[in-house]
Amino acid sequence: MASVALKNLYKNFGQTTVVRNVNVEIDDGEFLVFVGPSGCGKTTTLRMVVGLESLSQGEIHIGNRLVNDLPPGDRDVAMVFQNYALYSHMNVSRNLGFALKSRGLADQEIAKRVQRVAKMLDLEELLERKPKQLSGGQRQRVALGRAVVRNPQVFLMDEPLSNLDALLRLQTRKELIELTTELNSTVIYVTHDQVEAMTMGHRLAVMNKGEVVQLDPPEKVFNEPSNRFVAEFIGSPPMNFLDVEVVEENFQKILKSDAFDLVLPKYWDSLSESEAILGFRPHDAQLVAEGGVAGRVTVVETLGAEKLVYLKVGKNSLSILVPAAEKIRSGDQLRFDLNKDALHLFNRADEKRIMLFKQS
Amino acid sequence: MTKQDFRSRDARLGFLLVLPAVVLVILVVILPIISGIQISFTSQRVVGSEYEFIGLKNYFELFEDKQFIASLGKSAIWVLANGFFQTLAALLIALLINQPFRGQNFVRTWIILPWAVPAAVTAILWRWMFDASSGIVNTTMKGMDLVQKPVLFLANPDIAGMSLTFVNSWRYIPFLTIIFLASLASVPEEEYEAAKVDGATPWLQFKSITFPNLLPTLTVLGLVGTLWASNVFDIIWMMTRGGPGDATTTVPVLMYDMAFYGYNISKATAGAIIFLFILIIFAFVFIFANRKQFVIASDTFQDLSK
Repeated sequence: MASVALKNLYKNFGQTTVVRNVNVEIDDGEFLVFVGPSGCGKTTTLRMVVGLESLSQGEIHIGNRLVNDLPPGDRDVAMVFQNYALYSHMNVSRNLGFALKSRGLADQEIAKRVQRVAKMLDLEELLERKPKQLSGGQRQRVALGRAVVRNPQVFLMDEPLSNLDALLRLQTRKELIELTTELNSTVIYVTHDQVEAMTMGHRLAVMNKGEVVQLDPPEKVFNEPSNRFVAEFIGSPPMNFLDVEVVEENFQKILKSDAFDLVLPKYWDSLSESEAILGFRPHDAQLVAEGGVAGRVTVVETLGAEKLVYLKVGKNSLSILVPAAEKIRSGDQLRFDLNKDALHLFNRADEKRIMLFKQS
Repeated sequence: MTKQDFRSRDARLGFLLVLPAVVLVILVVILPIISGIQISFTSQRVVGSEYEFIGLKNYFELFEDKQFIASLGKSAIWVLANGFFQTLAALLIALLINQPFRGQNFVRTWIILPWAVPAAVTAILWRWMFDASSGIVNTTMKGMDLVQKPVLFLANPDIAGMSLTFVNSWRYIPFLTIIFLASLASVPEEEYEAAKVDGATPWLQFKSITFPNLLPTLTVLGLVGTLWASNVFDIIWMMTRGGPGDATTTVPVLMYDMAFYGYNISKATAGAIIFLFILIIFAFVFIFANRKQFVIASDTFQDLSK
């Protein structure tokens, strides 16, 4: 396994820049996840690393080799494709062995390694089958096996779980974590699913409009999103946002929205902005009998252990999570308090996180 | 209303919808064949003349007719030569223009042109170009000092067959190319990408991805192409009339000559019926031997039409 360094990566298609100034260093044995919405450039970045897409600018290093001009086959990387891209005319065994055959390994050695991977991934019964005769989960395992059998420097995975149904996805996610941990693999993983990103990645590279907007471990991305986009994209149900004025009364910083005032904890005293965007996650609100913020319920979604309640607060639509036992119906009036230590403030102009000494 | 009811109503509607096609096939295919078989058992010389029933006499005569036996051999060579040359050339052209290049769409569209030219025009065009004294091919080759004497493309019995194969292929290659292109388009791009990442050489990619994907198409073309090539008459007749001598007299040419110039329509029909049965047997054997590929091919064409 090897480390990977992406330096000042750019990719232009004609006049459009789809990847802009991406700088990411991936450690040996690290599981790095590129996460972002469709069209954010994450798959293009991955395809540049594997060599299926040329670079417009920048450098890609794998181990200590500059691979910019190497064809995919010479980069010693293995890729798991979104729709698996199994060779439809070969059986599982030949699919697994194809890369080894391309490299001119002896048939005996190929058979040995295919056998070992088949055992590892529970594919032994399926070796003679064609891809068409496999279920989605089995195909996924073959695609994974095809990568593992090569024992490459880096695994590149492009949304490998997105074609599986929900239950199988959970199971495969766990198996994938176990496998990559066991092999101590360097993995670059692309997904639009923030839950997948949070659970699998050692670090996340959150992308938006071709740029990496935050590169941090999952907890930090969740707790200290670098801007409003990250805050909204990571976490489910998504964070609430509302515009607030910041005023100072009696040496205290107070947030004023159109419907309520909120006294900030002491450590916000050095806040200099006079206006901001307040963000809070739905689970950082608790129902209260009196005081707090008042709102009228518009929609109630039952999630099982909890209910997601949509409220109209002044002009804003917000959502909060409440215990499922609470009897709430649309039209009800509610009051809730916010956990003041879990508030996020973003700059109105550039939507970047407002950071104070206390926090960082 | 029970389930059975609407099922049988659907079946009836389906039958009604295919009825016109069935009637058409009976009128223009089945009836002429039956009438042909009838004629082949008679002594009729020209259309409308008097005749009597002579049983299998025409058939016995044909089996002893050296010219007929020779024409069967020439047809076989003709089919093999055309099939090999056309398929190989069309496959290479398809692979070539399947690579992205500037003007690709233009080429892909207009490559069909030779196929759209009427056979009569093709024949005249190439006869003129192959002309010994003034044809562009000979004058060019002479101008480049490639040959001392003009090549008798259509008058030399050793060359005429090749010349005709070339012209006939020139006609059919575009069509085959288009079919191959369609078939190539159905090969998933990701398989090539996966192969590139796996380090496969272009040759290995062709061998293990492209070719297996083309195989069903090749098989279907093998059948259709054989039947088409067997029945080519127009190009040969218009360019050499089966000559020089009997050099290019394939079965259809001989049958036409026998029927309308030898005034022996019943014997010619008998020959045609024999040829028909040879082709039918070939088709059955071929389909049976390649039944797996035909199943895949019909699936593929269904996928393509979705």
